Amino acid sequence: MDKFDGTVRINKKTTNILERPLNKGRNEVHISSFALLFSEIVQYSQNRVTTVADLQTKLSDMGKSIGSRMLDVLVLREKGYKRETRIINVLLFIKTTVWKSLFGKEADKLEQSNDDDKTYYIIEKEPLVNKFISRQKDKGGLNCAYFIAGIVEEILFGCNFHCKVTAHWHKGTTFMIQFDESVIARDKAFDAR
Amino acid sequence: MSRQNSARADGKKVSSELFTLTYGALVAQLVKDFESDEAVNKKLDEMGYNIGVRLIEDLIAKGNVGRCHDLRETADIIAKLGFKMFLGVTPVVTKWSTAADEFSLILENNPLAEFVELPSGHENLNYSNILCGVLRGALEMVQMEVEISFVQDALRGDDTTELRVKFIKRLEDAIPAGEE
Amino acid sequence: MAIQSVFILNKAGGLIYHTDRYNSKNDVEKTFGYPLDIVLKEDDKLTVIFGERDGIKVGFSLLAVNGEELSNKQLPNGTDALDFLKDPNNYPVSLKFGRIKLKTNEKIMFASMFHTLFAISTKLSPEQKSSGIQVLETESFKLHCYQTATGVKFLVLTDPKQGPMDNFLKRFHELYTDYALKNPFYSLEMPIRCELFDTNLQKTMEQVERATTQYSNE
Repeated sequence: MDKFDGTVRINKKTTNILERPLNKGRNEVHISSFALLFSEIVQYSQNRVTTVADLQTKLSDMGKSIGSRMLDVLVLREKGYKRETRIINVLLFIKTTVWKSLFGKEADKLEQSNDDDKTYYIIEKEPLVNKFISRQKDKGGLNCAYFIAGIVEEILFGCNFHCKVTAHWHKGTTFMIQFDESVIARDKAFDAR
Repeated sequence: MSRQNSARADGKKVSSELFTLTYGALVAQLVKDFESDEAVNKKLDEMGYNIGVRLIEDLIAKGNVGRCHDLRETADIIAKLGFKMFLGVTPVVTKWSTAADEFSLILENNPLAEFVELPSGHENLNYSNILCGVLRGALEMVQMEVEISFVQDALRGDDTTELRVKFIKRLEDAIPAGEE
Repeated sequence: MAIQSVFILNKAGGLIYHTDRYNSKNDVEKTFGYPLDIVLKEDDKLTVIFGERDGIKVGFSLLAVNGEELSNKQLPNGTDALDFLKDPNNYPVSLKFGRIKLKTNEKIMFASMFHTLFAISTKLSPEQKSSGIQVLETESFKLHCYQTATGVKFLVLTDPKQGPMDNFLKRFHELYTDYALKNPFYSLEMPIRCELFDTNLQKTMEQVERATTQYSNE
């Protein structure tokens, strides 16, 4: 079986890393380690911006760099996985596969907007990154789960579904996914076939 | 896998992949934001310190640790409890100095650096420098001043990853009443 | 109600968190005719100093007149409560007495005094390396204190009959490490204002109450 050359960056100088199966990703660390690291990331980002909107963009950008790497790993690991071509399938892929490998569980809910066919919602009552972070009354609607929104946006982008993903305080946290017109048109064209 | 997923479901563990990628994203951001590798190393150490001073409360609250009375005991707790609990790896404690005031922690696997390759042009980047800060911050909170540095790093082609811990002094003035 | 209040003191003895589980069942509300047979002393509040009756004890303060809460010894319409009680036309009157809660400033002062007392207690010990105060008992309450190796103190005041609170204090410490220390918007050593900390602490205190009630019913 081919190793992960070219897809996951590896240390060229250490040989034994090549022998490790990609499934090694099933290791775990304590939630405190992650939470404190994330807290530092939020503080660092906050010190470099002046508005809540900019802070959320920073967190989303940080998430994006994780999303692109995560997609490569997932596509390889989930055996025989092909990139999805339909909106509903790619969203289910996010809700189940992506969520499980990042957070150890499926997302709570996936919904489509009633009055806009471009908009979908992924609802998570208590996203991992918000587990210990109280809502800040003096910071408007700041939701640190923009970090996760960034991951989702980049994975969708990598699957060729251009969209904008935002995070809102609603039923816990709701991730709002707004697809580009072109994506919707393409999906409809599939239906017409 | 089902066992691990249940450990994650009860909220105590997270995927090390997410952790590694998150740390990687942070380092990448710092490399972008700062001019030199040295400045990035310094920032990572600072961030680690902030984590360490908080993480120690976690270790005390959840790890049932008592106060240490010598450095060997401290080394043991760092390796077998601290690293094990927070990063899921147990470094080997070794290379004690004759005065027993210095030791090394050898990391077989470094969860921060899994699947990482240093980009060229960053030969002075101490990718995992945050660990130095974490140890320094955590030990300062239990009133021990230490110096910590990487003497070997597998990321740079060394055989292994080795952290050197040097005991400087007990911070007598900072010891809370009833804790000496 | 087993738990009366909880406090967190930082390393320097500064109060960074406090909350009361106010026990209103000890408040007494009664209707009085003229003249009032209870002697009130006026300082920063109106305190009963003589004329204990019907569960109204010396040391209680006047909390409300005819169902209206007092603030600064005044009725909501600005009338001084003492003046109001001097006027026979205002009788019969319904008065509520009870223990007045400590003001935040008073708590800050007591916290810092406790911090000092704690340090003194280690010096009083005949043995070296003694811990500080762990339990302090009085007729009407019991104080349980847990100091971590880093010097943060967790305090809980309970009913005097309450048994060891070690498990609660440990849990209290865990909540602090989770919901204060892991919050990027919380600064170390500063007062804790985190919604998740409040709600989780409330939940934990309710669990303790339930467990204690069960125990005392057995």
